Amino acid sequence: MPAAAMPAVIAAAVLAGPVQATARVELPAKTPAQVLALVAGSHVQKLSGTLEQSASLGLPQLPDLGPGSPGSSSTSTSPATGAENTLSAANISQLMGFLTEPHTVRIYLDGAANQRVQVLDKMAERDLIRHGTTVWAYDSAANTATELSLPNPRLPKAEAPKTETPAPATTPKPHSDIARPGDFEQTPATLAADFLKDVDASTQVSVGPNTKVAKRAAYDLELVPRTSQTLVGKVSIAVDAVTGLPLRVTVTARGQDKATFELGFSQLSLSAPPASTFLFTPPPGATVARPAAPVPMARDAVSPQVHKAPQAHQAPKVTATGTGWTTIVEAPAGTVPASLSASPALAQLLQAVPGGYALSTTLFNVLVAPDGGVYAGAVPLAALQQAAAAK
Amino acid sequence: MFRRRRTWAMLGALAAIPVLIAVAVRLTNGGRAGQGPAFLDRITENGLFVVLTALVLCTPLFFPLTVGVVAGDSIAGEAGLGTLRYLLAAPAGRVRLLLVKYVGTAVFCLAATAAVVLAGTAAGLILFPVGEVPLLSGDVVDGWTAEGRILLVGAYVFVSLLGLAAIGLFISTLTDVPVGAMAATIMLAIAAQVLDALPQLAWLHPWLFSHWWLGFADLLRQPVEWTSFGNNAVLQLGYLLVFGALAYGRFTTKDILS
Repeated sequence: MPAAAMPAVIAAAVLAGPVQATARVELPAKTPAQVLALVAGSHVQKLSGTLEQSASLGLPQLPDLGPGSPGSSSTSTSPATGAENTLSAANISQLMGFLTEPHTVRIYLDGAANQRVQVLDKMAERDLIRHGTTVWAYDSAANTATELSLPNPRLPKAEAPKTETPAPATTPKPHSDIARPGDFEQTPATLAADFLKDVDASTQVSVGPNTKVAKRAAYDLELVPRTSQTLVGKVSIAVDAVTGLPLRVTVTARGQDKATFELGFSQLSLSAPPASTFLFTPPPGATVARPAAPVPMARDAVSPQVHKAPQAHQAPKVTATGTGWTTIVEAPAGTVPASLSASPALAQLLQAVPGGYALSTTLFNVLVAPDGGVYAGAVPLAALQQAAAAK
Repeated sequence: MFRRRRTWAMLGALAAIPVLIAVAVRLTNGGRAGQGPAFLDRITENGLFVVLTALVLCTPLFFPLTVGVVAGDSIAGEAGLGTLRYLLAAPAGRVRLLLVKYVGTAVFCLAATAAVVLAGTAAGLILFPVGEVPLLSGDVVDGWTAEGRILLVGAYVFVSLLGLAAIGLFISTLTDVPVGAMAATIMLAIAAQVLDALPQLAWLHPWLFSHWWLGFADLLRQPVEWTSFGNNAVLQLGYLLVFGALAYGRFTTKDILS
């Protein structure tokens, strides 16, 4: 009998091992304004961390057939071609990979002038390294390196605090180095109060139960849209209790109880990464490209900001209607060429609906009208069809 | 086990894989970037990539195949030959026999990995230039550091096979027909990889023993990403404990008739 019981005991112990008890996180209570002030006053200059991104948007998923399958970076076009400015079938399969597959990104920061972002793919990696005014993009699958010089060599002073203001519906970019000079004149507290006043009409801001992200205690700032006309149910931002650094952004679609989109740190260390991390020389044998004009694509390709990706390809001529959560972004007729509408990659992604083809997810909808116009927003499909019909 | 000709034949076949890759690439002057198995296009620049290409090829198929044969044969083979009861007649005990058989299988896992790593390194050194090695992150390290990384990858692959070896040992205690145990073990390895490829079963993936098999690429990043090594080791240890215990439960209560 003991011989038969032993496997059961060990199996139970092994299964129970990963299930960690979720202890309550004790932190001094804070109001939303105080948490926002904490974020605004945050000046994290040095960190190395791992970001995990996952999304369950209800899109069709394809079997993952290893390193060569669509969605992994081996199908990506060479950065030097600049093909990312137009929609192509390869782009669409890449975009689909962004939307459906989980990603792991490692981030290294040291001051405002040194950044490195590594997108960890299967058997491959895409890197973006900034050291001073030099930016290198490296894609290990294609073995190509692209060097860019920043057009404006305005080096922010090392001691200037980095300010990040969380805005609803945008994911904060922890690797962002955009310092807003105007912000420094205000204190974090007034900035937070102003922000709360601005968003109050459209959004209910509250502080949820404290959480733990990457082993750090964090406040959970919850933004709930006041309108029911949007697909977004809740956006919660976990804010590090010590430094005020946003650690995790979770977007939950209306009517869902599990996160639809999540981007957050799984590991975080606030010490400076070794200086060699930011020094890059292309490896021997790599194809090196040095485009004359800076191509904004490189940041685009590694940016975890998937929401903006569909619009990023047609940056000009895009207009927005509506306000707040129900904003609809429109690209004019002819944005999607007719040849592309018929392509199998697009047909796989889109479904025919009255008034065009739609990409329908639990969090946002995209409508491609028959004339090639594109409508997108975190709103029900019917609202997009109305907007298209009103044209 | 190492006195059997079959074991040496399997190790020889495994060692031939990197050699074949190296010779084929040498004769055809390599492929285009981004084509074929990972790292294949880098071989002409640096011979050490022969090892990595061979490991990418061997991990999903050839390693499970050979480990399945050895593990499936461990107990059932003795039973099939009719020697099991003689082994147990000696005052050694069933637990000890089980342990010895598992250690033997683990030694084979180590030998199989070592065969590919050593043959690949040798073939790469002979046929291709070796110098500074670019990692996946684009950073360049010298040949010795790279060889260290490759040994780490070898250790990763060895650890990856331990779970499958334990499963094979358990299956081997269920039957007196060694071929059946081998086939079942190999089928399980393939089934686990098929399940791992279906996104609809994402909740199951972290529990599959094959889930981290190809995660050794994380050891080739700069700095090294240890998460997958740790996850893999914990997972394989879990499989080792569960299936080791199952094998113990089965083998100590079994009537040995052959």
